[in-house]
Amino acid sequence: MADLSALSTVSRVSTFTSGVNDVSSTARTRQYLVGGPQDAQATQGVQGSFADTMADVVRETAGDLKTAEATSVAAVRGEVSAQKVVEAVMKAELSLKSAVAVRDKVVEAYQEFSRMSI
Amino acid sequence: MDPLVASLKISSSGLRVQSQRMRIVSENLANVQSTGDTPGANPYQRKTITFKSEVDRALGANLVAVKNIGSDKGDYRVEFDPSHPAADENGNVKYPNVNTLIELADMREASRSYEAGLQMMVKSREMITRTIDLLRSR
Repeated sequence: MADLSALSTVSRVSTFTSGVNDVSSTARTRQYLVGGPQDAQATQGVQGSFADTMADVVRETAGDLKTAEATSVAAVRGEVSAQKVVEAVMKAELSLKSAVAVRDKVVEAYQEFSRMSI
Repeated sequence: MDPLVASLKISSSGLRVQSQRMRIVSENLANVQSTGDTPGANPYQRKTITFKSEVDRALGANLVAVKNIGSDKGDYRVEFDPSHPAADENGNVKYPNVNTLIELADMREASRSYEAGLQMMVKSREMITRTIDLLRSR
């Protein structure tokens, strides 16, 4: 899946920006992304940080892309109607578009920070 | 769920039932000459399709679904043709109760409804895309 490169960028940005948010959550996000133990979240005491939200968005988008691909393959085999394919691909496209738009905005914000003179 | 995404799904269900309807119409049209094969046997019976509203709980909206594919109980068309294998003792052959003009009108209606659904999808998608594009512009 070629489009996943964009997703991994989003996830890297989300891991990265968690450093801006609060330093301790970086490790937690990495754990979250690779599917580590969930109790790490509970011990931190912080819930629903920006990084977690980003990770959720990425995971959902990846799921949508997978569904779209599976539906397309099923349609080639003649099991699924064209309408279902369009529905799934459109959903994936919209998820990807919004994920990329948010990533761009986050990168922009980071660059704004990095240009700041101290 | 996002109302615009929901409207995409709802339109998609409309497209699905209209394509079912097209299938029924094409079946009727294809079988317009299908008689029985034994003397006095009944020919192909015209099929009808009805729709119903269906609540999707996850979506919280009304989708459309096929309610029933039934058969038209109307009278068969009878033609005098003693040489036909399906002719009865009086030489009459029963032809299907399919009226090509009605089927064509039905086809056009299905096609128009399909187009309306497509337009709905195009517009909803455009609205979503343009909203996301707000993030891009500076």
